[in-house]
Amino acid sequence: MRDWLPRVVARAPFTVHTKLIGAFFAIVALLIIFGIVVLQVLGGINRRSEDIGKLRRKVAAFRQLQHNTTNQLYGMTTALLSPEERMLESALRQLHEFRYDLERLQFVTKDEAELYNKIGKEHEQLVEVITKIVELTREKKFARARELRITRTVPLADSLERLTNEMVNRAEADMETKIDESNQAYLTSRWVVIGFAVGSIGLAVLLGYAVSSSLMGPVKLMDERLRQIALGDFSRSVEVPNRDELGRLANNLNRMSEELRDLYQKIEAASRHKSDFLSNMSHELRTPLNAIIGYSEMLAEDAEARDQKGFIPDLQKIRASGKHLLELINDILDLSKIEAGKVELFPETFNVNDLIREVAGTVQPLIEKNSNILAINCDDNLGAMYADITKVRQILFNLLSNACKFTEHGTITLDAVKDHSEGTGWLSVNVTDTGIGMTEEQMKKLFQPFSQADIQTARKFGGTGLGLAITRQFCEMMGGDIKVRSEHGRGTVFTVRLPMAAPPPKADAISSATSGDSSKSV
Amino acid sequence: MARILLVEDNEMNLDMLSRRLKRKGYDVVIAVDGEAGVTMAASERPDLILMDMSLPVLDGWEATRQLKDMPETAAIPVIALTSHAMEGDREKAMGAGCDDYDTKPVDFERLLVKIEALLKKQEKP
Repeated sequence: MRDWLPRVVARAPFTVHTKLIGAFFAIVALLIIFGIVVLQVLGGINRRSEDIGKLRRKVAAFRQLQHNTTNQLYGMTTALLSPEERMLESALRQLHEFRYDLERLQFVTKDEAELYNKIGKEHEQLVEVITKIVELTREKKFARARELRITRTVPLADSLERLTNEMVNRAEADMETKIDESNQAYLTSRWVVIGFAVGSIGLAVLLGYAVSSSLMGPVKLMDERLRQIALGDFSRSVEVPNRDELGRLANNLNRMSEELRDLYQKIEAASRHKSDFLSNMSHELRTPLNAIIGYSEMLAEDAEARDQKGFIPDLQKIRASGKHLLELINDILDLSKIEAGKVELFPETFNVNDLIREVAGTVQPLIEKNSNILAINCDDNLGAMYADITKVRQILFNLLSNACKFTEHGTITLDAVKDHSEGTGWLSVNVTDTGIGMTEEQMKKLFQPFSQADIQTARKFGGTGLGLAITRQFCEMMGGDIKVRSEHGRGTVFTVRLPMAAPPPKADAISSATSGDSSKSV
Repeated sequence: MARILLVEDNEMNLDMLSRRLKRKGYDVVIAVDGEAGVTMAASERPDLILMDMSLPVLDGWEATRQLKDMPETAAIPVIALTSHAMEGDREKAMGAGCDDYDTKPVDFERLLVKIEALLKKQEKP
């Protein structure tokens, strides 16, 4: 439920670029709107405080008017009591001063026009009456003047006083209202600004969350998927809701995964077919070979028994050819099994000295064949080793028979020492011959399948050219290595190092071993 | 002389091995499939059985398992012969109850050593 917004953003049919720009502009727009709102609120506050200031000045002016009115009316009334010309002049002057005060107020009394006009009218009447009184007084008609003063002036003055009071009161009430309004407006504006700020922040955060989630979600999914593909899992596909570049990326990722899966299955099938073919072929070839070798052996035995020895060399040639063919088939099968990863290690504990003795015995006929001498220099107590004995035996046998093949009337030396340098120790074996040796060029191709030093060598010395490739793969499977030093025409030294206790088999040792990158120290 | 039961379906292998074994003085009886092998083992009571693994009717592994399950034949040593020499074949054969293992084409001298070793072990107890 929480994810509906990122999902909506993801589904929007726009590019990632557009979405990012859109989100950015949305946030900028929010900022601008927020700024405008704040400016308007500030303007409102300013306007209201200006209004209040005006009202305050108006109230002050009204108060002044009221105060003056009271004073003048009082002064005027007092002045009219005396018949002296000086007093009368004073009364008239005060009357005009009041007029002046009133006119000065005209600009602030737009709202109270009615009241102002009323005051104006009453004042005119007062002026009229007082002018009359002054005239009567000057004419010494005191009784008439007194009567007029009492009947007209006093009520008019009272009315004027009352009207100015009312004006002040009304203005003060106005100001009170305005101040209340202003306070209320301030509170409202504060909430509007806070509301806008909170809303904008919330919207910006939501937008940021939605956009980043809609982008990062698929990236994480695809990262996880790629990791699985790297580990060889092609079975799943990645589902992202995006209709942008990321969506296309995910589609391409899924397509790639499917292609890889198909390719992987094809390769697997091809490899299986190859293995099956080799296995079947080798079986089919072995059956007739079985008969060739067996019957030639039997005929040789018969010839021996019947004293017909002339046949024996030919029969032995048939048998030897059969054996060679068998060896070839076995080596091809071995190598194809190693390459298919079908070879497993079966470690067991055995005595190294016993094994070396056994191999030396097996290889003796080959040593004698080229009139060589085998010298064995090894510690008497090499002790127990935990490894696949069949493969260690084959490694030693391959190296020794290889040395025999390329040496005539020479010496083949096997040195074996136990090296305690790391972990459980290492068995280090050197097989040295005084044979034909190799050139740099020849050594480069040495451990690659089917690559005897050159074709002439293969013709002359026989063999499959697979022995060293198999030997090297066995060494690496067991966690060890093989190195070669050689001088053309002087001889060759192979050095094998194997751990005394087998580590768990390494799957990648096989694949890296087939790459043909041999490790040599010359 | 010791009696050896040879269970093998390939005619030439059968002919060769039986003739060479006879020449070495063994009393050889033969069977050409797994089922016949089991029957012969029960009736002829050989001292040792040479068992090919890829046999018709009943394969070598199953035949060996049946032989080792029957009290009257369980003690007879069985040498498995396989033409595959695949990695794990030895373990598979030993797992079925075989006492030893060799690959075809047989190295006759080596096979004789294995036969003699098992026969000797058989006499001792």
